[in-house]
Amino acid sequence: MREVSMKKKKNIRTIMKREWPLHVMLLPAVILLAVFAYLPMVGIVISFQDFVPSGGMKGFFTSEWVGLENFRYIFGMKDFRQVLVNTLVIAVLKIVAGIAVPLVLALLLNEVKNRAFKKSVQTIVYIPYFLSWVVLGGILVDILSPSNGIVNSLITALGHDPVYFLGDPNTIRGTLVVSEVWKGCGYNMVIFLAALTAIDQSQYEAAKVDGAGYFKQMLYITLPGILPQIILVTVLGLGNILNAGFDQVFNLYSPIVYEKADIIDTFVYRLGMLNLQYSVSTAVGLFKSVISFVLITISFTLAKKFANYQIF
Amino acid sequence: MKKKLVLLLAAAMLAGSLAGCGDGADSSEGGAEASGGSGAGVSEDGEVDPRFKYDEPVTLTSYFEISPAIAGDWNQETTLNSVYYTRMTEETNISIDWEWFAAQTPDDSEQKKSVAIASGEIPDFMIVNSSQLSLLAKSDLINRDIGKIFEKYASEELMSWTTGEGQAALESASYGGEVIAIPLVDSSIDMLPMMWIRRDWIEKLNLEMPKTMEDLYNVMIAFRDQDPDGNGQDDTIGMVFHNLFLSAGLGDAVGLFNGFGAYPTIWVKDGEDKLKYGSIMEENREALDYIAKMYQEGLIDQDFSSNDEVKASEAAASGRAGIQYGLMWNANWPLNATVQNDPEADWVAIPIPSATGSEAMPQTSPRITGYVVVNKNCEHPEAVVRLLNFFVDKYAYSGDEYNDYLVEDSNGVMTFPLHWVMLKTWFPLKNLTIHQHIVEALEKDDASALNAEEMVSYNDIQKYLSGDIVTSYGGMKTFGNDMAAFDTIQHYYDNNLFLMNEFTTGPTPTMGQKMSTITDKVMEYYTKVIMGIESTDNFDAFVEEVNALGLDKITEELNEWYANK
Repeated sequence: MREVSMKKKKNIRTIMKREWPLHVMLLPAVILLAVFAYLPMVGIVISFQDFVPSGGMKGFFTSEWVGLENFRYIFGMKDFRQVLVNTLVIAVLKIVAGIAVPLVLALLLNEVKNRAFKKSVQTIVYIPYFLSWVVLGGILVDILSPSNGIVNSLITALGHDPVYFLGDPNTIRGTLVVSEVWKGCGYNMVIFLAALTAIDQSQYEAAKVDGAGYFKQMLYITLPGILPQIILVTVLGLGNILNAGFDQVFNLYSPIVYEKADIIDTFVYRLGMLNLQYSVSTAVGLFKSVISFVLITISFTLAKKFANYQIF
Repeated sequence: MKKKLVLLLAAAMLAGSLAGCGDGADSSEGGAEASGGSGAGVSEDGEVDPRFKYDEPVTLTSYFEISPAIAGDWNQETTLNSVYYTRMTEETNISIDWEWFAAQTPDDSEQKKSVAIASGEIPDFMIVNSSQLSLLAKSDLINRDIGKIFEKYASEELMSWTTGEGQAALESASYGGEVIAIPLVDSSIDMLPMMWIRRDWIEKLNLEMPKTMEDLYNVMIAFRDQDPDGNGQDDTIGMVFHNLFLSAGLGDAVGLFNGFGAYPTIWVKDGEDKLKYGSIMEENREALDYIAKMYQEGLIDQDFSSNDEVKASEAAASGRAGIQYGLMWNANWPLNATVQNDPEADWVAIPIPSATGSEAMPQTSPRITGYVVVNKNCEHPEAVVRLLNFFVDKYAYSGDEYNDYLVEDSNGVMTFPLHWVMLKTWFPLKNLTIHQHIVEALEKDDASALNAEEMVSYNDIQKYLSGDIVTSYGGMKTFGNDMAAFDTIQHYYDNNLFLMNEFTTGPTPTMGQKMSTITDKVMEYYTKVIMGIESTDNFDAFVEEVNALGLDKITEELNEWYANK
């Protein structure tokens, strides 16, 4: 036993000796994570308190403890249930569309023989991914405006009534999902394209000899070939099921569509930052974190099982 | 009586303010000996000079909120170098160090303030809303003696503005019996419900102005049946009425409920120093039966439940209805439209009729635009009061000096830059005073005593009197001397006929959670009763139901706050 651990220690020492520059390079990221992600976790205590601010951390010690009162409160809130449903619906739609659309795009693009065309399409599809929602939000509000937006000009030119995409509870979810997919599909598309290049070309040649057309080749070679990546992306998406996208929703929603578009993160923001219900808002946030933690654990287990993907 | 006294004082101060300004030299001496401590501006014999000047420069930190009204072309340099701020520093030796400038919206300034409160790092003074105040009240971040400091240093004008409508404003800023913030007030008597009625119809049908609810019923029947518009058609109804009838504005029923001594939507004392929600008061029963009868007999539109106030008000504008409950601005819109169709249309305002035998008391809520809280570590809390004194002096009582402060607004008009000033308050009786001055000027036929603002309304009324009744209708009917809106408000004010909402804090926990469900339930039940689907026989069951929905818990929480006030 002792020998083994001695050996291990030695190993670590030699590894460190060899790899220390890499660890130093990692350090800033670790510090940032510690300061902005781990340290603030102390604040979770206020979800079990009736928090009254009294200068910095002092409030943590002076506030009254109320046990699970805040959690009882949020589950009794009519709005909270609606917000939970909104979050789930929007997130699931985004995850599904966020895989299907890039997959189709990647498959189509894969068939394109003209290299220049392929590369330029790839770049154009990828560009919106790098834009912030603050910028895109402003652009979308203009483009989708029912009075002078370009989309509605088209709709009215075709003889239909203008659609208030961002102000109508019936269209807001669709608008959120479509715009998210448009913005983010480049990323998954690139993952799929990369996976496609890894497929052994001789399989296609063999299939052709056996008389398989494009469609059959796709069904029996391409899709099975990138299945691990599809599963991976899907499974990792599970962990995000309660993240319906604060940046996007915050920049696109308004009080008239709260009933359909208000998600947990925006709800927490309004409760805590605008209504000063710090404790309740922290309780909602903690609730979300716990569920997300469970989901991420499940998704990593599944990822390891089906796609042999592992971080730890 | 007390209010009259305050008014008198205010008027006296108008004359005295010039003398006050002249004292500047003396006061700086007074401040000399005590400026190091909290006794700034106190002379040797203990007299406080509200217009004192610090010997040493004093800097206060605070936040600058940019009103949406000026957000488009606001310029920081222009604002801070304006005459208002430079002269403020010259005359008081106080300057303000703005920690940030942010748009006055929930997502900008409110969010920043919320973060500041949560982290406990608030500036020397900041302006908060009622929710923020009730949270700060429980914390130990703010100076709780500010009420006493305010009392000591406030100029008589500032005090008369703040208490223009009684103690309600200061009481709303108190916690544990102490005033812990300075309320910045607006007018709540301007929001008192009144009744608008067509005098030409009354005269034509040989009726009297209704004083009781029974009178009102008879007048409505006459308006419906006796063809007051004389077009030979049976096309008139009794009263304008819309689906959100508990929101005071126009064509609502708040004044009608008040006529029965019922006070829906506000919190009132139930006799023994406890608060009670007005919508479940027993008195509502009678009021609801009355409206249900109106509905049944076709005195109000049968499809009121799908009409909002704008839609419903068309009945008044088009000459189908000659009565509506509403507020003082109704003659500016939509009632002015009536006269465009019918030059005879003569809307007048009268106090709301009563069913109780004595005069009815209309309801209103204290209107407070914000509360100034002062950091407990701020060394010169009295400086905040000094700055408010400065504002009141310069804005309202500075004579010719007033012109120095004017700046051009986006329409090219020279105005006092109210949006540039954070520490500002209002004289709640301002509109009423304008009315009084105009009435006086009309009686004497001499407008020389009127100020610039009053002149605008006065000229409008002169135009009306010389025949331009269409464009100047609103001016005459609001500020004029012939049964105008402010004649009614004057009547309420003189006779102390108004009931203030006692709810002046932020929403209680259960309120935030359940109140919208409760108000929805109340509207649903009231509407059903009016339409005959439900009956007031079930009023007790309805009260039980809303209590079960959380109202009893809310009442409990609110009474806890009320007892601590």
